[in-house]
Amino acid sequence: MKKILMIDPDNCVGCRQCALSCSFNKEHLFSLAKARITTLWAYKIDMNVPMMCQHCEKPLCLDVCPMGAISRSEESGAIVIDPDRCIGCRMCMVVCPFGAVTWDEDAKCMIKCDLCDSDPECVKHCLYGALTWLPADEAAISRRQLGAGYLAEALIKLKED
Amino acid sequence: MDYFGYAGKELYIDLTDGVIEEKPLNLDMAVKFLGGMGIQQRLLYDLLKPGTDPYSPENPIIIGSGPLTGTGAPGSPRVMGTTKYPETGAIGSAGGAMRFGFMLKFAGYDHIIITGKASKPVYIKIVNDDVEICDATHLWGKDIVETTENLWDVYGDCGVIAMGQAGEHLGKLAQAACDLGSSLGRGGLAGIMGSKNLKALVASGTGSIKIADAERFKKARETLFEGAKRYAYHGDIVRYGIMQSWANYRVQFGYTKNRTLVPDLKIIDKGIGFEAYKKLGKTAFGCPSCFIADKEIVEMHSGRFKGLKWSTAAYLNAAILSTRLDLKDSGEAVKFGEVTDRLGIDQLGFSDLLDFIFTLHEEGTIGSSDVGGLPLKRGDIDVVLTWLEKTANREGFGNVIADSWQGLMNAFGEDLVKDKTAVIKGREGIWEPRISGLGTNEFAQLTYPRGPNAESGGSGLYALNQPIETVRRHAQRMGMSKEAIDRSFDSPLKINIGRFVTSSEHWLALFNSLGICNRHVNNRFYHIDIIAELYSAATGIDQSPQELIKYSERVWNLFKMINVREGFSKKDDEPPEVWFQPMVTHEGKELYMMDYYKTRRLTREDVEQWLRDYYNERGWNIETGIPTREKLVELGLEEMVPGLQK
Repeated sequence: MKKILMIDPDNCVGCRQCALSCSFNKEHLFSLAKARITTLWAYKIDMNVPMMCQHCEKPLCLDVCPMGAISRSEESGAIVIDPDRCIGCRMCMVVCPFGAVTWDEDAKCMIKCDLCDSDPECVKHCLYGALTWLPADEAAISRRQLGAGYLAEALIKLKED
Repeated sequence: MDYFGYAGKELYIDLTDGVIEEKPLNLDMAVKFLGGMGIQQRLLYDLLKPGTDPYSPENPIIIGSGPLTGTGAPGSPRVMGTTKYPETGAIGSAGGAMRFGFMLKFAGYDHIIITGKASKPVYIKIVNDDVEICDATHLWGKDIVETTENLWDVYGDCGVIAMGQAGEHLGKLAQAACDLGSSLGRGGLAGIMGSKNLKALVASGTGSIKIADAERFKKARETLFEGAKRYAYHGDIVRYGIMQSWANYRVQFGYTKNRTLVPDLKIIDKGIGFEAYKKLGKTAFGCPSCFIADKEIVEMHSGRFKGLKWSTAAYLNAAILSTRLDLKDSGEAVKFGEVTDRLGIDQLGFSDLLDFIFTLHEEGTIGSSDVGGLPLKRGDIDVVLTWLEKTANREGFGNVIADSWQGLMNAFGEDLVKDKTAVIKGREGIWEPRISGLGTNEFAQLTYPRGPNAESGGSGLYALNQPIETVRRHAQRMGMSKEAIDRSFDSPLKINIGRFVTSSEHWLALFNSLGICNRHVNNRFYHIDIIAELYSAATGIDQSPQELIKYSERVWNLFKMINVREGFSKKDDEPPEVWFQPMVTHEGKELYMMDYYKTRRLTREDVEQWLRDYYNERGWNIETGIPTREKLVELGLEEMVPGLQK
């Protein structure tokens, strides 16, 4: 069973160690712009939201790339960019609904999460449980359990009211 | 030139003529004074003419971070604000956190040096090298929450330092806030911003912080992460924040009636304390790079203030300060905290001042007519809110409170204030030694050149009743030499506080200079060896642990000398008389100031002796309490020797 990277914004505190760890691992420096993941503070809903590639089943970036520079890794299932083929047309950035593909001004190339060869650095440095690396079926069960919790809370509240 | 760890640039902004100038970071100065507080103090030493009025355009505000800020070193978001503070007249480096310093580094700057006075309200925008003094007319009159949210809306992912109405009215209790999660500049930083017509600062950046030796940095960083992963209380701290230590802090700070009475803490626990806190809605958040986040947005689910939300570094402060004013429940505590933070008023100072006034009234010393008709009723949140509004806007008697203890001395006479309060260098101490014993934090309120504050004395003896073995381990973490440890622990009271404080002050200077958060929950993971590894690997400037401690000592001596130049000396380090008078518990038991381990009652002579030991440990003149020429030369501070002539 392939593993997937699960995001739980409820647990995210906005420490950005995911982004710092990502840029450090990939570029040996610290940068928000060069990180393949970021967290954004959505103050209107009191929530920090980790934003990153979802490695979609139907990746628009892959479809739109005129150079065939984007592919899915057989091993990790990650959607990856071949920097040698990328011409920097930014079409992938335009179509991605998560803003997960970004431009690296120094490398003159698009960059995105590649799941660190199935050992994601961001997950290793998230001490809050906002990012987890789980087999896909476990992830589904865990989401369902979480959903059940919310439902139960809502029902209890309904009863109280 | 490539900079590692440091961003590599400083930004000079003159608000009078609107000139913005970028200068490379002086690397020699960075090597010598580390960064953050160290560099800021050194810059101010050259920029500030002694005797300058804090509110004059010539008083600079320097804001920025250290070489570890912006890196993945855990808990390294510290942003420092150095200026001459109006409440005490002392030069200080206040610490804050959240995103501003972090973002400023990614924008490419280590420090911003702001001088002059804008002709109309402005805010400073720094988006990479796009730096602009922007019109803030639309923000003037708005509170800190409104101002911050407005700038978040405009600039998106950024860091914001903002001030509220108290700052606009040049309050000495006015402090700024960083991203609604950290205060900055107790003692009037926001008042100085107000005097410059500077409403806010905003920073964001897409740059990078380069690391000189990534492998070496990684190793040290991973050691810290492993420590945090093993820490059994990690989950509790994220869940409960600093309230996790309620049982400790409620004792340390649980007093009222102008520090004469310790109330029944069991009653407070129920209405305002940990039990009440657990019933609040809570969203945890943290600063960038924090691996043990303890900040929170709390929300009232019931009562008069149902639906009220408050973004804060700690509900704990409001809970404790509400005790002082006899507020009754968590809703009133949250309201008090929320409004003080919106207006930008120092909660600690304000609650002490109001408690003092209420106490004078209860004793029959003053009546309503003495305070311009303002209500004198303890235990009423609406009364407290009225006083807060009046103070922020300097209306009526609020104008007196806005000047803090100096205002009350002017109104009621210096003797009354000095006889009845623990005012040191113009501000009341936070740590009450008659409850906790005279530990490092309590004692260092006397010696802290900035005037007493929460971080006084660093973290030597943060909590109550720590076993001596724990304290000794902490001493080693702080990089104390064997000789310094021997001297500090050679005492019939187990610890010679005067000597020990010098080392915890160096530890604080190191954190403040490198950019590491000094909060206990973060501090406890750090060791001088790890810090030396992180610093050397990040900057490429190889420093041993011993050298770093020596450099911190240099920073502390500079900090002292810049205040000596303003006229501070031993007379300003004297213990307040009330420390030698008893407090009374609600059960009628008298509390006298004792040593940390409560071995015996301390006399003025005991404290004076520890002060002499403190000066002696520092190699300062024990009669005047200021550094000697030899010490300054030893530390490479020859340029400060002329300051001794004054």
